[in-house]
Amino acid sequence: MNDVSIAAPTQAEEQYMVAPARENLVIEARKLDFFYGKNQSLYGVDLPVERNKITALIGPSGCGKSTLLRALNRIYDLYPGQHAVGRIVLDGNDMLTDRKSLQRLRDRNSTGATVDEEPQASRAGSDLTQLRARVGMVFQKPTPFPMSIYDNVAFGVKLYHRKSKSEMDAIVERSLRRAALWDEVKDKLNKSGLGLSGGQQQRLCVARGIAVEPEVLLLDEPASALDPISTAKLEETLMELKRDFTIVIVTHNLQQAARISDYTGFMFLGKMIEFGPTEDLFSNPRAQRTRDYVTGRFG
Amino acid sequence: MDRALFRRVTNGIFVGACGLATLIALTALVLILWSLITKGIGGLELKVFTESQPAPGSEGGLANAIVGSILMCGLGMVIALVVGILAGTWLAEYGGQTTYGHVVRFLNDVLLSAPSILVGLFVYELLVAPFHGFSAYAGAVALAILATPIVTRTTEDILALQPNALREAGMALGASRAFVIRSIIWKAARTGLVTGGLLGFARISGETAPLLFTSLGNQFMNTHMSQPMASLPTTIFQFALSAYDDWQRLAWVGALLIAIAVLSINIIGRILARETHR
Repeated sequence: MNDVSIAAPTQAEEQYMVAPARENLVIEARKLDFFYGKNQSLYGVDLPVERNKITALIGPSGCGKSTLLRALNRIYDLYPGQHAVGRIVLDGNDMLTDRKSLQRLRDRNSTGATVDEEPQASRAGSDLTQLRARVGMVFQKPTPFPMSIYDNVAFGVKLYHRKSKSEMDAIVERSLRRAALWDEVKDKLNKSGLGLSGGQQQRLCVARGIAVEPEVLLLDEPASALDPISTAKLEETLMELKRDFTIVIVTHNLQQAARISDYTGFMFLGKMIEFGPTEDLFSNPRAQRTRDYVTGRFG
Repeated sequence: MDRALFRRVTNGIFVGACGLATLIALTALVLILWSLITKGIGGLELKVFTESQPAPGSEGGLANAIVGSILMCGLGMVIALVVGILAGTWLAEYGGQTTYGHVVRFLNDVLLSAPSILVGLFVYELLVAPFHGFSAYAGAVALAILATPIVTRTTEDILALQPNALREAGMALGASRAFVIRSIIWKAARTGLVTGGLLGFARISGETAPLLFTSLGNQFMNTHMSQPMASLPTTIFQFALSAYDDWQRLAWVGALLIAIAVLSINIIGRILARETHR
């Protein structure tokens, strides 16, 4: 049995952060708390994400890494009762500036728990459609829509732009090529996306996500339902994609994080314990908890 | 007794009992179909579809009843599908967990098992008595009231089965909730929605009691929905109770027609649902 006691984090929990230069950040969570109803699951989490890099989030189950990811494009808004308090900054603009979120932030600041300058209310911050156009997401299980491969990729584009048939054809081809799926599906674009294999479906979801040209692509354990070969292919795709996009990936697989990411954040019980360049974090972790986790002593 | 033998015997008894029950149910079904076919097929001639109902002793068909059934079931199903699918969608996607949602679901379940004759009386009070006349509109509304809870229920059930990941994936691309439901969730649930419609149609295609109070019946061909209208079930009811052999024969033909219609619409619906899903 492991001899590491897993206790609730206290104020004294060691936390280390080696953040990239601020001017290189594209999206950033600052002092973010998250609540499922009354249960708090994130505690003042900071996550700086550098442009055109892959940032990995690791940590034991239930540590809040998926929650953090889902906060970045506010997909949690689907569920009443879930809410975030803090700041999510995309290209310098606050995205948590609808009236309710601001009120919660004000309440928190007035209790003196954390002090942070307050964002200005802005329409941009409460326009979820715009936010999600700029921050795409791929889920754990492949989620192809019940329509043709072509329509799957075109779905998001159609929401924002009216394109001619030839323009749309070009976008679909380009997206599928970038997701390394084109050669496998170019002869059956009108077939249902449900007929593809799991790995192909996941790359279809990636193609669908990048077709709208987001700045950031969030991936929530995208390889956990895939076999090793499909996983390798997906990882290769992600390495290619970081030239054009910024990627944040949640993974249970430490080797995967070490292989593909530039920055890694280790989370534990709702806190960001350590964040820094991947090489440093794996070869020279500073926090005891990180060391225990990456050397396999618990988790 | 030997333990293994005992278990084999109880197992055998259980399987036997299940098989016997299935056999009984199937036998009843086969007997019904058999009597329908043997007694109805002989009278199935072209004039059944071209001529209206005859006076006793003379030649004629069921054209007026067939047209009436198609018109009233058609309008009833249009109403039931629109109301039922929207209501089921609201229950599954929006308000199902609110107090109002629970009340709606409970009332829908009550309506699901409401005796059809009560529905007929209700529509009589609502649409027949105030306007001083039986009408096909009233008949269609009565049928719609019977089919709507079935469509609502199946719609809610089938939408609830769709994975949340699908909704999240749609929303993550920036689509609104309503758009995700219309363009993704309904599509994914298509087979189930068709099944709901088929179940509703199967229920109302043979309903007699609510039509007796609303569309009444009509011995002549009529396509005006504001007038009393014939329908297969009411005509069967009238003819089967009559003392005339030729009327009774036509009643069997009418019953066979309903069975064929329900069967073929079921088959067509399933094929359509499967093909569009590919």
